[in-house]
Amino acid sequence: MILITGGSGFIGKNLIYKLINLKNIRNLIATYKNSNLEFFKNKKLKYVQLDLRSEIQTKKILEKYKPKVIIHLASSYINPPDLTLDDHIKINVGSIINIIDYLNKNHFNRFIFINTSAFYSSSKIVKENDKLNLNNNYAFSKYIASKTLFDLINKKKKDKIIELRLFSVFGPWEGEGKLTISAIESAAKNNHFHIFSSKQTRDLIYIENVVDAIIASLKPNIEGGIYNICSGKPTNLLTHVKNIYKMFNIHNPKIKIKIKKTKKLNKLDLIIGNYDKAYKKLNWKPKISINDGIKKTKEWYLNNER
Amino acid sequence: MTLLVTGSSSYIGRNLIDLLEKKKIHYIGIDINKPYNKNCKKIDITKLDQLKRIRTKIDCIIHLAAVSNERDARNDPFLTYKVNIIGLLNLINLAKVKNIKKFIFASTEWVYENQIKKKHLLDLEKCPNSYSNSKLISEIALKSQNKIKYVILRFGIIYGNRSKNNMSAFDQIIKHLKYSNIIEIGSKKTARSFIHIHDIVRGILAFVKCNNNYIIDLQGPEKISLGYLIKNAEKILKKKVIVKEKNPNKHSIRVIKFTKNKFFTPKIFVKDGINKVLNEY
Repeated sequence: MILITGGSGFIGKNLIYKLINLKNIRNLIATYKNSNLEFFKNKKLKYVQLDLRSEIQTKKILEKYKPKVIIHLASSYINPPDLTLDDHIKINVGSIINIIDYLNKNHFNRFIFINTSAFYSSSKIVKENDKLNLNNNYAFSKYIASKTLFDLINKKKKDKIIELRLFSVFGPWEGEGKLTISAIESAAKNNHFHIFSSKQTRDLIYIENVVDAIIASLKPNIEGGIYNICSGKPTNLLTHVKNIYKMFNIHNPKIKIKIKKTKKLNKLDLIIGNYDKAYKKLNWKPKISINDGIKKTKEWYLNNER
Repeated sequence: MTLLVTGSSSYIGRNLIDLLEKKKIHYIGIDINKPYNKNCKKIDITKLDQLKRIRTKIDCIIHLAAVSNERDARNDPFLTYKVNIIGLLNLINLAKVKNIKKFIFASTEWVYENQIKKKHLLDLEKCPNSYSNSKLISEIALKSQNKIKYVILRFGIIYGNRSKNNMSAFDQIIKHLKYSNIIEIGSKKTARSFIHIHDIVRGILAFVKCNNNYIIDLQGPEKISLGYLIKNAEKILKKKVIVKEKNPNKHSIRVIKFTKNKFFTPKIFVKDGINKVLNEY
């Protein structure tokens, strides 16, 4: 039995889509908090409503299904920026703390915590144990969640815990208003596109690579710990948008840049990851390039357009 | 037996250490502020490497260090979570490394819903402020540890020789009445089960010896309404007081009974309490 929290989110949908098509996966429980639409209909899959902030609700669900594997995707979000620090802590730390008790007291094979790279501070190629920058509420709460997990788990079970720190993921079912999807939408309609700055650079990674990393983490005998999941390459966001337009055969897109030249780039805009550890221990590396990822997302968009 | 007292320069910390000195119990105090005495060290609990500098064998952690009231927490939620959650995690870490099997944690009645007839624990999702939030999360964190015996003490409203900024209504009223015959309060019916600081520190110490997990409401021995408090003060001060009520019908009654247990019973009732406040003033 695999339990996936945050099953109605961007990564949740992509992961479930892949897992229900795998032969060796028999039973999936996906939890959601608000949106109760049962996105995929499949015999293997059951949706359950669960607010992970509630100690009682969480205990009840975990005791009922006794999952041997938990993939914890549920999280707060940065945009829109309407959440307070209290909200971030409740969602991100509260959910971990409510699951920990189950993990410490029951037998399980794997707990995979999907975390962010938002709290890294270095502008170079960052490794898992690099310096942190906890200046924003979201990143701070995600860092405490990680610390909570590794500090509170029983020593003997530490090897069953895997934390994946994702960089800038894009692809099908990405939230509305996210860069890649918005650019594809604008390009399809040959509309104007607005971008914040010409200098912003991210470590973009296509979602299928992330799903692969999660599946790689499910294998037994893999060392527990923290793994960066990234491309390891800087992608300039303006170039990224231009590439998207090119795929629609638009070579001179109308892109408006809010700030053309920024004197100092925000450190967060330059964080590029290093996935050596994931390659060594999980035998994982990104197989689908960013360009192929854009192509796949475009296909998905065109086939799913309402 | 050696105790590790965190927050040893705080109000409760200092009072506890006075008691430990009196009872000749061995302890180490740590605090981010100026050390209270020579058995205390300046250590920041949010920094694990500083905590690991403690070499002495510890038998029990008494964890008082925290951003410890709602107002301070509201002013700096970031610091609140840093001290209250990361601090606790580091101490749990220390307990694991040093094989410390006993952990006494200072929690608060703020983990209950506000307007209570029957006490009801807050749900995290409904938790109204950073202070309660941090304490609720801390309690659950501690409960998840099966190798540590924990005692969670949920403190009520503490009085007795507090600093000006954190004075309880009990202290404020008694100190005022010492020199005045007129007092203005909200409502006479407003009530709490105020607990004297000496009962608090006796209570903490009583649980060092127990061997099971406990969650205890550490409250005073009786319901004290402001009217009842003033009546008793009149008798002790031998004078008549004129009470002006601003909102006689807008009272808040929040009385949580202390959890009966075999280790400790609060014994400072209102008269003793008033005398103590007057003597210390």
